[in-house]
Amino acid sequence: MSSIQKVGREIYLMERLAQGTSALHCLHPRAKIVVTFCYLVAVVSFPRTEVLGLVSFFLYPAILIPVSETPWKPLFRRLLPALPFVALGGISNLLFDRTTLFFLWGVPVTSGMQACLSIIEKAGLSVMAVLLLAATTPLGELSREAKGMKFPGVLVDLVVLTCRYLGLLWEEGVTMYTAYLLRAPGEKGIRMRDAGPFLGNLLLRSISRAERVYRAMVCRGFAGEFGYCNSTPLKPGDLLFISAVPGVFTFFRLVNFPLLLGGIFV
Amino acid sequence: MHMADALLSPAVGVSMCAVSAGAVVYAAAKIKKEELDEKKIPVMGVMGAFVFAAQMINFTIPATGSSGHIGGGILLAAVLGGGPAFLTITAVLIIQCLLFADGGLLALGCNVFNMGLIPCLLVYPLLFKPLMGRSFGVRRLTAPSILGVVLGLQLGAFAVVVETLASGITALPFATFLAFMQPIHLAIGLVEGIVTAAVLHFVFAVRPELLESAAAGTKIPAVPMKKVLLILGVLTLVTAGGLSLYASGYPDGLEWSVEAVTGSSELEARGVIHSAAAFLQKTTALLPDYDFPQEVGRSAVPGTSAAGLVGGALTFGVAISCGLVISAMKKKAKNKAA
Repeated sequence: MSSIQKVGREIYLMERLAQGTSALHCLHPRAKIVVTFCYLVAVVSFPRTEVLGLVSFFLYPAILIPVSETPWKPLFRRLLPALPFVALGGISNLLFDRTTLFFLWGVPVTSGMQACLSIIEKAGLSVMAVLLLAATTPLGELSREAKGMKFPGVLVDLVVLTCRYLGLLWEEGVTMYTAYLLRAPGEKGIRMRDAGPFLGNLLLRSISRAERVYRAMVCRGFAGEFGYCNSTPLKPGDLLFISAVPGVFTFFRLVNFPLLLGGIFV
Repeated sequence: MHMADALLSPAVGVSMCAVSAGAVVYAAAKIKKEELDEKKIPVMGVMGAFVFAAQMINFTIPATGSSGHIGGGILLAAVLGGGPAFLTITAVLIIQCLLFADGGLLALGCNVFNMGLIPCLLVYPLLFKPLMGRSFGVRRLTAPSILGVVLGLQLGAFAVVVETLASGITALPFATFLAFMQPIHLAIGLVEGIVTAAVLHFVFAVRPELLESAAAGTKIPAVPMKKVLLILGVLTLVTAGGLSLYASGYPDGLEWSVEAVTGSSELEARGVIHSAAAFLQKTTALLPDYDFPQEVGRSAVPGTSAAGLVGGALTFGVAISCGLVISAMKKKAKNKAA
């Protein structure tokens, strides 16, 4: 129960973080979307056994998280859902790819070990980049940009509405769940034979709620589509961010910076 | 079943984004053309939120000690119709990706394809609706629900295997990966299918008109499957062609032909222009071959490894130090302002 309530509290965490006023928050959403996309492509384009080259890309979250004043803990907590499937891919490399590449202090380093590490690095970096985008850009601004970039209006409106109703229906679900557990003490969850009526009830309540919400929206002038203000033009700072940061990514992608740095000392 | 960016190559990620974007644009355009009941948009939004809430509530599976939750694709399709359900699941996946880091941004196309397009635009119209027939009934809901969910999950899991292996990130052999994924998702699908059937029974008993209107397509007519299949077929061919050329470790048709003629799959290039072009290609290639570039074995450049280790540690240290210094500066500035 407590874990469910905890998730409920965290639903709008990203939206709360996105209300900040740091330099990163003030950048144009389009600039942040473009840079995040470049970052993701650069990170996942590394060969499957590359470990060292990826280390340079830790600079991006390491610099931007404090600049945007985003707390570290919730971001790291959100890394967890991404890990199970990624771990499966990583561990499979350990088992199936045992080609010895070199020996490190007498320990054989296999291609599978490198691939496993590389997958974990890539997972951490890519999830951090997306979370940073979400934690510094309100969903409303992302939606406006999506409409500006000619995404289908129905889908954009759906994303906004779904996000808005998430908390509402979450509360509805938690209330029903609490009521169920109070009547069935000792149960760890909903019994499977009760799952049909339970979820069916939640679904019917959701539909009733949707109808009430629709009527309220019509009263406030809703005519089938949300209106958005026109997107503001990119400022010089945004242009600098768009051109300089992907340039750095390209440099780190082409030049193995850690190897270069290590070569100076060894 | 959410795929992460780390397991995808850019080619597969971007190609699947293109395929899913095409399906989204088509479904959205079709809905707009059919003059979707404007009331349906808020209903779709709330139903998306319902899927979220329902996915968080676990039910206990008897005699196993484990728990599960519903996926929602077939359930949404039964209540809203295939096209709107597909868009709703897409919206849910976008939010899961952005706000919960569940599934990557580059992997969004794969996730939309595996968890949205397959159950809502393929399984629902091709299996669920024909099995349901024209007359609704409590008994007739069970088999289509279970079979629909099971088939949707099986196809989705198969797509995950193909996308992951096409990316060339894991060393799992195709047969092993398949043998791992399919039985697990068969068990999950059976349990989820039974729960989906139970939910639909309940909804049909209380408000039968909800399911009947979605199935009859009175408010949202079904997307014609001939066109969907044609578009999907073309996109699949283009994608599969592109991916196989890009990601296969085996020689492609041209390399095979060259090998048959010359005895080697690579043609030797001579001359200054060729050398310059090769150098340029080597330095600018964003996606070189996935092989480890150094010689395999004990003698493989220990000096490079040491330099790499030192350099990696230094770079990581620099990154962390940057973060700490910026945090400290920000704190100092805040304290001064206070």
